[in-house]
Amino acid sequence: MIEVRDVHKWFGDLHVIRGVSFEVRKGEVVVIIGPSGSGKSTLLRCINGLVEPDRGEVFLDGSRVTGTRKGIENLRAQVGMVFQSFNLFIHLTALGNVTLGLTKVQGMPSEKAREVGLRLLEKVGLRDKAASYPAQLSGGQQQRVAIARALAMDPKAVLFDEPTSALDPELIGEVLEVMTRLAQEGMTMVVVSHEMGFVRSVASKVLFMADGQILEAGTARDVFENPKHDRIREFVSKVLT
Amino acid sequence: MVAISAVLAILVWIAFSGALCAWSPLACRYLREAAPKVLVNLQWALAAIAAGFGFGFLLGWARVSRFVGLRAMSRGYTELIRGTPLLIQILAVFYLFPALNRALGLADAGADLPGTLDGFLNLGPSEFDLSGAQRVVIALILNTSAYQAEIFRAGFQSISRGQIEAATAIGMSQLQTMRHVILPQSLRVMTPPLTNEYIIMFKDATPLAFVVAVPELVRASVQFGQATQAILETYVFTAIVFLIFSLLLTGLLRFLERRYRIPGLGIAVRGRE
Repeated sequence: MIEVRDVHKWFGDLHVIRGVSFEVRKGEVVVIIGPSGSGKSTLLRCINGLVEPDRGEVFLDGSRVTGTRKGIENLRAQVGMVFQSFNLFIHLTALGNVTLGLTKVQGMPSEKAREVGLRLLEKVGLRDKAASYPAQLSGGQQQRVAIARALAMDPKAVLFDEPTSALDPELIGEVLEVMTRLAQEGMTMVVVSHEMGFVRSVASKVLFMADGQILEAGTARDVFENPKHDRIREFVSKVLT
Repeated sequence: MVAISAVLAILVWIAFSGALCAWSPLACRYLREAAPKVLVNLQWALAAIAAGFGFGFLLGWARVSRFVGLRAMSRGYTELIRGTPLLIQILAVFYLFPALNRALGLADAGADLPGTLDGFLNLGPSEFDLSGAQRVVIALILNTSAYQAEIFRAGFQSISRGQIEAATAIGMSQLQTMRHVILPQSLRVMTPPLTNEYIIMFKDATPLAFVVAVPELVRASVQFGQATQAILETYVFTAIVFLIFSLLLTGLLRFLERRYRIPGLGIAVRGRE
């Protein structure tokens, strides 16, 4: 479904992504782990066109996402994105956040969008918060609204960029719960996360990234328990304790 | 609410003017002869504010554009306007048309105001003839556009990158992101500085028309003061008239500010919520 082929990205002289290739099949949950600064976020951004790769290609369902100006906005809407810092629209209610894309991008009538929005808020357990503004919600609630907002566009896949890293420990569970349910329903997901419990239980594939490259790829068990590189062993032992 | 306060203000005004005439014939006469000229200042200010809002938006947007040329143009214009006195700008615009006509050999060297571009544009003798008031308004628009552009820029820059990315990620175009995400939030941040600029336009900028002898409240007041020999009193009256309309203007903008406050965000206004 998603294919990343030899992607490179430079920020000035900094070569942040150095030839990354991988594939995500429909219904798979691919988790990317690795030390900070290894290019995980940039890689995610390359997949939905927020960042344009300098070299290499990204395919979505066989069609090229990269390098095509035409329809890139439409393509972006096919891959949802959930950010570390939620990035909700602060002037809109929870419902308004979920329905903005429906009414303005998809041109859905507002009554219908409202219905869809409420159904999605129900799905993330926040139907009763539909009229609340982001500033009135906890971090965990905000992130669940952000997930509902991404789902509203009926995406083929959803990208999660460290969705729980900005949350207080006691709020992480509610977000992971929603993500786990989504994975079980068969949503295709690419997740940057260091929540090992979550990774072990839902990841179809784990990619370990360092210095802009994928050092190792395999099942969670392979990567965590029998890593080939010392760097991975070191990293895993640090994160697991 | 605004409508009710307007009606109330008018009622108070009528009652007040009656009492005023009984108490001070001078104030009463000022109210009838000079004070209505404030409508000229108000009209100029509103025209300049509205047009300057549009141009300021475009200039402010250009200022945060990814195109270097647009940024440079906007910045250059803003610096030029901000770095020169408004008084000079008014004079410049005022004498621009006659000077142009002279330069193009379209009018006699001694042609007086108001000059025209009739010959240049091939229009009939009176079809293109900017009045003094129109020239003043043009100068005010040129001026306030630069200041409002800076306020727009501040507003745009107050929006987190993340929200713009989020809008992009759900497939919104740049124009849609501006319209539905950046502008609604920017305008809220911009209200206090915009109020400042609007008040300055009304009470500090429009009276500068004095130097080009276009009638408005200050000129009318000076003439009234000379005619009645009550100079000091006249200026106090003038100040009061400006104050009243300034307060109305700030009141309206403060109402909008409260009306569109985002719940749960920022410091609550004392005594509310």
